[in-house]
Amino acid sequence: MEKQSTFGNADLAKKMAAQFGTNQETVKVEMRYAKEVETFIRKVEEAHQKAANSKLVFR
Amino acid sequence: MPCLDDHRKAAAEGVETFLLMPPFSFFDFIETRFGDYDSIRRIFSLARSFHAESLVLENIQPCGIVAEENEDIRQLFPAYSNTGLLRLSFWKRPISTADSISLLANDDFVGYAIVKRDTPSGDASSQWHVFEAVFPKYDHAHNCVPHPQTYHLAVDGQIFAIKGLLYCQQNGLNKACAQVAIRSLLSRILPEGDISYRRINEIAATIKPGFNPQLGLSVPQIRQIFHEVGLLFNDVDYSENGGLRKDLPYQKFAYAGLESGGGALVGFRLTGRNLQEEAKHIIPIYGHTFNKDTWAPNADISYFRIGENVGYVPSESWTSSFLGHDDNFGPNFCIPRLYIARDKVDYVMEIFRPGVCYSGVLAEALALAILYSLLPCLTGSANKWILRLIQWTNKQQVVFRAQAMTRDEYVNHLQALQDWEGNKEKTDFCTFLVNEMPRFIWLVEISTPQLFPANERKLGEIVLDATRKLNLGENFSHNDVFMFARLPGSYLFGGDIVGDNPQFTPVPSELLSHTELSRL
Repeated sequence: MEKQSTFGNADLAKKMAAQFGTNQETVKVEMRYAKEVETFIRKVEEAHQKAANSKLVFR
Repeated sequence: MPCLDDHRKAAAEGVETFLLMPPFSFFDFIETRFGDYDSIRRIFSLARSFHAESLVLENIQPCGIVAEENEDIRQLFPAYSNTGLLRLSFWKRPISTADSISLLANDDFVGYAIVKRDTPSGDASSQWHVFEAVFPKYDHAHNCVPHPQTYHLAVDGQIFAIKGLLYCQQNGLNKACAQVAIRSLLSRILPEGDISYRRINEIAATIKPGFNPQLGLSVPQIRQIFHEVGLLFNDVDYSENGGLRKDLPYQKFAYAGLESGGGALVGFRLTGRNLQEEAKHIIPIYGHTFNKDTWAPNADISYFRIGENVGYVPSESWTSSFLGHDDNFGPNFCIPRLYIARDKVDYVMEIFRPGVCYSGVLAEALALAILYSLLPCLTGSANKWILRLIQWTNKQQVVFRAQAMTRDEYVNHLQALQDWEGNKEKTDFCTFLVNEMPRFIWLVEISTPQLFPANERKLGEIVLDATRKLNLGENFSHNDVFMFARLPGSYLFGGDIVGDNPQFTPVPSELLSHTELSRL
């Protein structure tokens, strides 16, 4: 299977494993809920961007 | 960088001392000296609550940011005069003469207020207000104020220190609720320890030249002030999109801000018999109560959904009240978390701790995706806590608590942890790890509704790099910010993505079961 990119810091994983060992085989993970989390994060970011044009005044 | 606290260290021109035991009456004292002011009454009520036994009252000269404020008001009201400036300090030890002040120590210090009388145009216009006040949080273990600031005050020439969060009140001349709320929160975060109203208003004027500061600040002005002082934030204006009140509740952002030490601003609409028109008010939030027996987490209302089918129990479920100031009424109030109705809240700003680039709310969402993906791959684990965590995850009964930390704070926390059997992490592991971590992280603690409130313990954490902005472009990715997951018995470090599946490298941990939550 072709290697695409990394999740986190692969070099750190290698360093830590070399220094302190591993206690299991590498765990391959299917990322569930990635779409839900992306949608949620985009909603938060969109709301933040829109607040730049807010007409609210507090006094 | 110079500290902006000259006004707290102003020389006294006259010193009076008062013993506060009965029959001394604060009601009589306030009415005689000031008149009828809710905020000043609140200051004295706090002093009583802390069992203050003496009051030192000093007449002081305006200096530092107080003198600057007077100059600015005079620009707006040429006949303006600052007709009173008092430093009130409250003490646990009874002292009856100014000579006894030398006997006082920081442990005796209950709190202080600098109260100011402004006369913009003749005696009839005179008004007192609390320029600033600091009282500590109550000793009660259920009151939590992350990262309190230490303020230094001169009393009869001696310097005393007190921890708390600055309260400030508007005067309707050069500052409204927005300016004072911002100063409260920034005094804790900025390296110079305070910000002047002149600077706040000068920055606000860059957005709207010639604006009148007594009319408050708009959201774009508030945002510009935070940009100018180099702080990042997340904010939501609910007034333009009411649907966001349900999907992105203000309580989540307020809680994320206060837990990380930046605090939050909450803006809402006031209605009432005495208001001729709807008013918009904003207050600073900086702490919370922790109510371990609260019923709320058992109810669906406390469950936070990221999407249709995925959610978790946020740690703020055990918060009954936010701690905050209301400049109209005074400092250090408990504001019930569910009291300000969602439909009354128009605005929230979560302020990030300096060095942090994205919201604690987003950190929890990322942690959820990582944990809920990782655990199904660990069903073969021999650790019973992993197996329990899998069961709770299947029911989505997992508690997340996001904390912004420096790497040193995290590694000190990790070194101090002890699992239920008394095991501790290896020192060389912690020493090695600290050199590989970014300066600021999000520590998203993982717990369960049984463990979190009763024992204040957790099963591990997801650690994210807080110093990188999330990639929100077309190729959305949060891969870069993941550091590692710590679960009972194992750390899981990220690695290559093969196909669409990330590979995690397990490294053994000495911590085999639950450990203490972090406390900053």
